[in-house]
Amino acid sequence: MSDFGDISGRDEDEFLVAEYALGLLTPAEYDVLGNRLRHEPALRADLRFWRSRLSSLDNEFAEVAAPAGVWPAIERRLFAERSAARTGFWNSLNLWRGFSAVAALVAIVAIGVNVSTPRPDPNAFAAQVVAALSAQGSNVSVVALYNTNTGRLRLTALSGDAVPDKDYELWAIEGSDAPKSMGVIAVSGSKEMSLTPDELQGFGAGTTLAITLEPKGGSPTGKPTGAIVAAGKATQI
Amino acid sequence: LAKLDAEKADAVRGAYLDGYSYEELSERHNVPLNTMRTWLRRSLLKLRECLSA
Repeated sequence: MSDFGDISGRDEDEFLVAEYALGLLTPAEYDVLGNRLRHEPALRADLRFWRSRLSSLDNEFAEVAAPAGVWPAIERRLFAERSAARTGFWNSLNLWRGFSAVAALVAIVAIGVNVSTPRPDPNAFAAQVVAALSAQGSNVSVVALYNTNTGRLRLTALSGDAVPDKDYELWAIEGSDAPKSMGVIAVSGSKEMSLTPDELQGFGAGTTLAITLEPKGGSPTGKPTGAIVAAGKATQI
Repeated sequence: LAKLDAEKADAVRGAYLDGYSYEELSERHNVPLNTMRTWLRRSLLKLRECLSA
């Protein structure tokens, strides 16, 4: 620093240390010197020198009795504010009582809901019904997987060709009952559908699923009219 | 400290006892910051001489 022509090198360091001791350095300078102090014992000796000498300045603090009015003024400020604040909205005892009552209620309800909500049964995942649908002389092949947890039926078409102006329709047959239509299905890709309560009736292992080729839009009579292109019995897995 | 100019001694006291920064000291004593730094360093130099003696 050119400001200090007579001050350089070793002295500059010593000033930095003195300024460090006085807390006059910028945070950046402070960090740099802090690092150097860790590695340079000479600087640490300087710091000890300045700290011990400067501590003699501590005696310059003279004990002074506080003016008589100070203590009452402090008390006034503390307690006047407190009693004034006590009437405030946020300090209302009823507010906090009410708040904690509401919070407790929320906690009870939350715990109750948590406890009463059934955990998904790890075994339930296996509670599925599967049917492989196929028939001789037809290339339509579909796998149906029914999840008893979600009540959803997933149809995955393994093969099958769409026929112009025709639709494939899925039927569920329980024993000797009349086939129940489960709607028109595509014979490509995978599709998931929810079963209606009516469709769910009696649906499960033992149900025969069948696919027929019907006029566009499905059977006009509500009963299968076309040839069965694929069928299979549902089995619990 | 008694051997320093009253004003410069005050600056050292201000830094040590009151924790003033160079900015605050230069404002209080109404001198540029660099001048304040020079002042203080001269004072420290003098102080060191006195103190080590």
